[in-house]
Amino acid sequence: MTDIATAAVAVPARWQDYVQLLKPRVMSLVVFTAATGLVCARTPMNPFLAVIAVFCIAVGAGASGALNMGFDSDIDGLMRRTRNRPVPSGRVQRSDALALGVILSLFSVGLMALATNLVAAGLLAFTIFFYAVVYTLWLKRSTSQNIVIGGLAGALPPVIGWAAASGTTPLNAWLLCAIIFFWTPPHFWALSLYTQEDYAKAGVPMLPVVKGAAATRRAILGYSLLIAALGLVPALSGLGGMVYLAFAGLGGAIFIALAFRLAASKAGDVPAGASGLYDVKANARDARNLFAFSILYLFCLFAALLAERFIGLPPLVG
Amino acid sequence: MSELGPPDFVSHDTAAQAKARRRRSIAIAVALGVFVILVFIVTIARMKGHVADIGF
Repeated sequence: MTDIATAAVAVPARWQDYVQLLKPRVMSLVVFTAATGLVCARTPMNPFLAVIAVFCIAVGAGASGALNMGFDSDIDGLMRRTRNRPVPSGRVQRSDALALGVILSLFSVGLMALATNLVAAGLLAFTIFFYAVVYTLWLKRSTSQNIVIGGLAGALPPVIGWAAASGTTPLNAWLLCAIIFFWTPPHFWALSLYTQEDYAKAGVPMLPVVKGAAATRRAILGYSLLIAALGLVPALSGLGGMVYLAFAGLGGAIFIALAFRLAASKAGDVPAGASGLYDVKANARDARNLFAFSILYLFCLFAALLAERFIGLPPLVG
Repeated sequence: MSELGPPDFVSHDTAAQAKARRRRSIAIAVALGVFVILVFIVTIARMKGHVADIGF
């Protein structure tokens, strides 16, 4: 019997462990962006079915999280950031996590098809498959561009929400997807600059581990310039109004300023000490600042779009 | 295999494990019940929409 199996016998799982398998923090971001896509579609929809659609996307995201934790239990056990997760700590069996993920996937996709349409259900199924299989099993362990390509899974929820409301996926839906897609690399690479020791130990080829911290800081700057510019586009495409433009302009400028500061720093050059994975080291502060601000930036962009819809502010164009 | 069955089937669950298993079973039953109710309500909601679309 393995150590993990022994621990599983000794410590019965609590309900909180099953909630943790669903990655509730990721789920909350997915719900927020999916709801924005659904509202931006401007298609009249039964409110109950709209809530069910967002619920299905949330459950689908949770299913992806459970599958991810099941498949990744080997490397999660090697990293300080993840070793206390339910599977590597032995509180939940790997097979139970995978079973939960498969069952929730089937429930969420089936209910989405029943409540909305096949386009939304198909996109939800693709998103779960892409995150659990393409990203977790393949990209994450094989290429330093893992989170660039894998970021598509996290970028699709607004498109699913849009499709749930309208049955279509117009360019503006894909624009929201593109914003999250190009936001993902600077966000995760900033994090990986001060957690790279963990990734290296687990054999995960994150960019700082493979190409070094300096190349990662340059890549973050490049993507930051791109996302700051892309963030302005919804104001020109008939999606965002004055409030959105203000947030995108100011937020993009701060994003770029923080990225330049990070590029000029030595963040990631000296790995964090054994006791300080999340300590703000002098050389990691700029990476930490960009990581934290990137979350606020994305939240503000989508919140502005939501607020404009609810207040009734018209888009700048169209 | 003897008629009494292999000894592997003998349960060694502790009281805590048995309690945890019972809680899990109840949670699964409740989740299934909620899912069935959701499917029913969603079906009714969608049928109402279709009925409303029918012209006279």
